[in-house]
Amino acid sequence: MALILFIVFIICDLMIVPICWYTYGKQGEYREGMVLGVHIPPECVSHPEVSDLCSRSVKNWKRFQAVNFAVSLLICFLCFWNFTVFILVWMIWIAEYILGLEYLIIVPHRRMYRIKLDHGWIDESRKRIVRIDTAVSAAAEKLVLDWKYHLPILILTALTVFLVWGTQGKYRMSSGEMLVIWALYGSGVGVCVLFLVFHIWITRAPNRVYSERTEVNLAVNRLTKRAWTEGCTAASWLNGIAWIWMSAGYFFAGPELSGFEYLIYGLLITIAAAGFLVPVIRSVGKRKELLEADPSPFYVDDDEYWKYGWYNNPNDRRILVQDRFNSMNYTTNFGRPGVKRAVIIFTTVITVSCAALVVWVFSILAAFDNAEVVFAGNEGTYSFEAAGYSCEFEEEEIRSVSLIESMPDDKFTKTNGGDTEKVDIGHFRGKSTGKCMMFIYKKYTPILEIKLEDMTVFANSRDAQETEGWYEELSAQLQS
Amino acid sequence: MICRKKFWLNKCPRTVDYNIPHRHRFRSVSMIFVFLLDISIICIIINNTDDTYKREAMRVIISLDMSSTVPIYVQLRNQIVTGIGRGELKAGETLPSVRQMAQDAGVNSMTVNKTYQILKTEGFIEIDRRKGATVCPVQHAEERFREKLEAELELLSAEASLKGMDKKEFLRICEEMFQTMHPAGSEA
Repeated sequence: MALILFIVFIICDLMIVPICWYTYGKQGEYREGMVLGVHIPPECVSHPEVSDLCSRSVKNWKRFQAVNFAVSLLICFLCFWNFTVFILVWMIWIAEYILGLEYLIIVPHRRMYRIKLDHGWIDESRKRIVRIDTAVSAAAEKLVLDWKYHLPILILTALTVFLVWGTQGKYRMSSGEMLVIWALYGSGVGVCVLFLVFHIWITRAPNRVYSERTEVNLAVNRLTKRAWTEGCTAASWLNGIAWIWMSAGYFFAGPELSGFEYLIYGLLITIAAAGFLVPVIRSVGKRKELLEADPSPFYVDDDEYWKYGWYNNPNDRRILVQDRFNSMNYTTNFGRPGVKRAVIIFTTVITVSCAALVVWVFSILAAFDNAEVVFAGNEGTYSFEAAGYSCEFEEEEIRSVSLIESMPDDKFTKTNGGDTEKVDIGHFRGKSTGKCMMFIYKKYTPILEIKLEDMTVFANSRDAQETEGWYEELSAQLQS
Repeated sequence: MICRKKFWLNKCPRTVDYNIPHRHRFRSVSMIFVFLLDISIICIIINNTDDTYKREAMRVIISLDMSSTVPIYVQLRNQIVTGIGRGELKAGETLPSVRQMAQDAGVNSMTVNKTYQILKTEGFIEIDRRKGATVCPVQHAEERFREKLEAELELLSAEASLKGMDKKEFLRICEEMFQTMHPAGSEA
């Protein structure tokens, strides 16, 4: 378990830091008439104050990223010592990293804006100008991939509900066992819907005017919008295919899929993510080439709306605008009424939800670590309970009761429960044993095996005599 | 499995054997198929070259000054008329739809709709439900237009005169401006 968590978190950290490093690391370069997110004339780029600020900013950025990269990888080794401590330390690190990123992006930007004001590098003629290239506007629908390409895979993914129901009926799975499968179904369909909505939003996004030349405007708008819509479509299809394969696997091969199959599913989902990112990342480089080759670029000097480091323009009707610091990203217009409140509410909900999720996970883990198996019998009805899982059965359902020294020689897969170093509790499924519930302290014997009509229950106590007492009670009731 | 004690009540419990060979074959075959499909989709995306949109399109760059006292619909109208006058928008060409123009300009669609209605009233465009707004050919000046022109020129002449500009200079500027206009279908 510790190894799996280590691998998951180290992969996350290997992606988070380099992606942020690369996507926001070009602020010091003069691009699209801007440096550090501020429009300045090209001849002012070599000004000593500008050069000094840029070089310091780049140096600080590289140092911050390198240190955090190393720290994030080292923190992952705490998994092997104590998971609780690891999670707390990792959360503190991610909060520090996010705050550090914001600081290193916003502060140099504000300083650069101050330099611009001090030197009067404001082009009044370019302020508050909105440009429309009628050729690009008229061709807007032809610049993007049609959103209807999403429909076939969305429908097919939604139709896997029949495979899921079929799996439940075919293998007689309980609601508890089906929870994971339904969650995967929900995420499979939900991701397809999400990409469809995103695709439609990109289609309706305003076209930008980059140049006096219509050819450049057409090329860049088409490149950008096409790449994003193709990425959305590819990701939707690949995600849908991944889930269809998984649901077909559940139906035809059974719900007790091994870790290898889940790894393959994870790989397919990763390919889906690549399907989205590949065209988008390719378009960024080509866009840069096109814009740098343009001899007559247009720039709108709207820096006063970005002076605090975020976009605040009450006159702009858009709620989402392209991020000044990373054209692949979007940010909110805090000048729009209600946006500030919405962002605060959204951020609060996310933060509280994450905190609640962490607390819930800890409570679950703690419940398993401190689980006590409780056996109760009353008037022909018996039950086992531990760590929030329970199993109740009638005397008539019992087919056999036995006391065994070790678990059967079978491959058990957990379908809904906990499998720690100390206990196995919850719903499991064995290749030959079939559906079973476990309430086992792993290092203790004997183990009580109760075969019911439709499943098997394995249970024991830390006290061998208590386990034997349960066995005696059950077999005595059956004899009578 | 070592069984210390066992008590059987009725029949032997049902066991389920999931190790059916054809299920493993199904998984292997399906996995290969899915990966091949994924790679095909990725290859289609990668090889889908960004062929530049080559359609010969009319070209007018409209600039709207959001801080100006001149209403947006007037600015939009003026720039479309100028574009038609310069020949950048040719007769029969379609203007962007109201919704698209409003989206790109970041204004309300009612503003763009008003602009298009004014242009239609003035005879510069015609609006068809299927084709959208299309540029009209050059038309002969009506009496109403002449009156409007005289009124605006009177104001411009007064301003030029008050600013110390002489008649020759004023006419020279008018001539230069007029020479830049090449609407489609007009005599050069």
